[in-house]
Amino acid sequence: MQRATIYLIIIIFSVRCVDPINLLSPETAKSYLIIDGLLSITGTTAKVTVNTYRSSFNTERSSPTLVDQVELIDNQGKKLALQRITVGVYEATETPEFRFELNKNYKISVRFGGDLFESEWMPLLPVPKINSINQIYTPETTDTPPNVEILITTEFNDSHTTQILRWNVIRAYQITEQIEGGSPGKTCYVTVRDDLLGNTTLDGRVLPKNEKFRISATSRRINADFAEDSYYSIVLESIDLNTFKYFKARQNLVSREGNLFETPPGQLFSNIRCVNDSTKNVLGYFYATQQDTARIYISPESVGTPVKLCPRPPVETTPCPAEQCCNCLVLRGSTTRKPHYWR
Amino acid sequence: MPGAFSPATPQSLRVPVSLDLEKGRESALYISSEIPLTKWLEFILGYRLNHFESLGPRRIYKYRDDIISEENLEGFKIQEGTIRTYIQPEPRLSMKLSLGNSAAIKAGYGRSSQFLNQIFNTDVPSPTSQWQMVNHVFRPGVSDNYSAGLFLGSVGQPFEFSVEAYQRKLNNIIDYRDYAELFVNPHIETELLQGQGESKGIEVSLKKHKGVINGFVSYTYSQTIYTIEGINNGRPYFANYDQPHNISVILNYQPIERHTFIANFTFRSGRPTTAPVSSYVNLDGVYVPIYSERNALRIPDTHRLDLSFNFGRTHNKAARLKSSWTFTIYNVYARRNPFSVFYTRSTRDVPTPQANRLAIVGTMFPALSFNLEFE
Repeated sequence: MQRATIYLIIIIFSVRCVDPINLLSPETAKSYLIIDGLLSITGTTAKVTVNTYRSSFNTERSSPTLVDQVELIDNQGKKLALQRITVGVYEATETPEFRFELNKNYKISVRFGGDLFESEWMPLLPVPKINSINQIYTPETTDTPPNVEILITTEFNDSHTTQILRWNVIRAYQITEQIEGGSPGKTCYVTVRDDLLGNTTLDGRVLPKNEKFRISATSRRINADFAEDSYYSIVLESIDLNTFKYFKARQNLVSREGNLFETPPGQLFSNIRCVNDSTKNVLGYFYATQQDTARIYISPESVGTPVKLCPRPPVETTPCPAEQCCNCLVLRGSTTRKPHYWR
Repeated sequence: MPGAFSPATPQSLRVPVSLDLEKGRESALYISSEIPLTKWLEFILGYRLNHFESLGPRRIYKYRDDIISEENLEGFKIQEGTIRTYIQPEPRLSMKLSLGNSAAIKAGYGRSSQFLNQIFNTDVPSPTSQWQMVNHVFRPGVSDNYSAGLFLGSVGQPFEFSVEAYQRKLNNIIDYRDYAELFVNPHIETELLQGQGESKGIEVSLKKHKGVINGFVSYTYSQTIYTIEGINNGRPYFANYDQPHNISVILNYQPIERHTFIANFTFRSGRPTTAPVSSYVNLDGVYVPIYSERNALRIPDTHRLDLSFNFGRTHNKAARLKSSWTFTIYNVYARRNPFSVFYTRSTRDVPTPQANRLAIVGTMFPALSFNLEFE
């Protein structure tokens, strides 16, 4: 009896409350063609980039996809063919015959598997200039870790019709290989996007024109990435209201954790459609913007001289407890070629 | 108290938010009359007049071009007193046609109004669910209900059978937009939309009152579909409480008066859910899940068998106090019924959408109870 009671208690309490399940069947799992496009003018460089992917329920099977033809079309019907850079990446730059003009409308067209996909017409929006870029370092306290915040100032004028902004945050840092007791090896320059999970949009439609305002572009906890020279680049873009909603929705989906307090999910909307068959599964977004970039150098001393990752003391199993201390090229976005703006 | 959000520490960057009290006043006038036309045919007419006032003080938000959305929010004013009044007439008519002593056909129409709605952002109501009162933005929900059924059996007969069909036309139902910020949102009207719905179904039940084996079997098929402009691209979708199949079986076996064996089986279809159906990783390395249309998938069905043994009931029929014991095994075959399903990304190198089932009592569970009956 006693043994039976123990078994019963074990059975009851060994069952987990949460377990993974599969809701999808082959009929409900879907594959979409994803078409993302950006037409941008940065300084004197004007280019259009289109990325094409095939989605899958199993993310490992999603992949960049080769398509048959990609074109940019202006509102006078002129076409510019994009060249394939690699699988799923297509680019073209401005030509004397096909100019990229602010406030003019453009759309992209993609031919794939006998179908024609087109985006909505999108205006090439002018962007306000970044007037200044600064850093604010907050040392460690008993409650908060050390932190650096990057701020930019800008202002809208009469040419800015939408007053909605988006920005990319690009962080580049230097790391030098070294193992315990050895001499320094090669130096790598690692470029990462820091805006992929955070909120990087601002609806500034209530802001007065011709008055400077400040944006907190990003904020990051100080770690070993800041132990050598590093840079933050902020690339500011103008977007319209629908594009703003698209990025907010995508941001919501990307950063979901599955807790009770989260906002309910929804379908990712798109401004791409299949012209000849409205039932085709296609998603993605095309927008056009002028860009303005500001960059700031972050010296290790300005952020509290953090401890370097390398060298690290070896452990018994491996002489290289942190792989990047033996080969810094293993890091995503790493190169030994020094960026043109580096000191 | 509708809610508040306060920073936990002085260092917190959270801006404190406190929601206005929801206040309303409801009153009603009701008259009804029974009209027996013949011995076999009877009508009941009724009329209810509802009066509802949404009361202040509360914040009334102003929107650019009167388009209610977070992007068009311009500010607010405080309004006192009665903010909006609704007068909702509710006519009712029911008919009973008797077919002898133990059979009847019943049919009815009735309109009902709803001034309070529950809003929840999960697949099931949860502690984060909230109540939303009708106000200057949200109109009362109105449903027109039609039903007709055949009823067989009467008091004293061993069997009772009924079959009844119904249809409801729903107006001003409330549901949330995609990505709605429902949690302590002072201008929740930017996150909710109203539209139409339709609910219909058929219920069949059979009861056996007498005998060593007696019990109850019922089956309901129902369907509730919403159509709301701004949700699911304006296309119809299943309401989140739509559970088409509902089966209930209760069997009592009473070989002697002191002991009763009870088997209770229930089955409900899984609730609809909005779930990831695809995903991709873009060139920046960002994993993007793609969700289905609103409520296009279903969480697993819920079913359970409970067995009970009631024993030790006193023989003495004249006793004013009767006691007995009941030993119950809930969820005999240890079904892990989902209370809710939520979605995370798997922890593999390349993240993949993962559905997770939360089962509150996902195993067999014994219980022993002592019963006292006073007569």
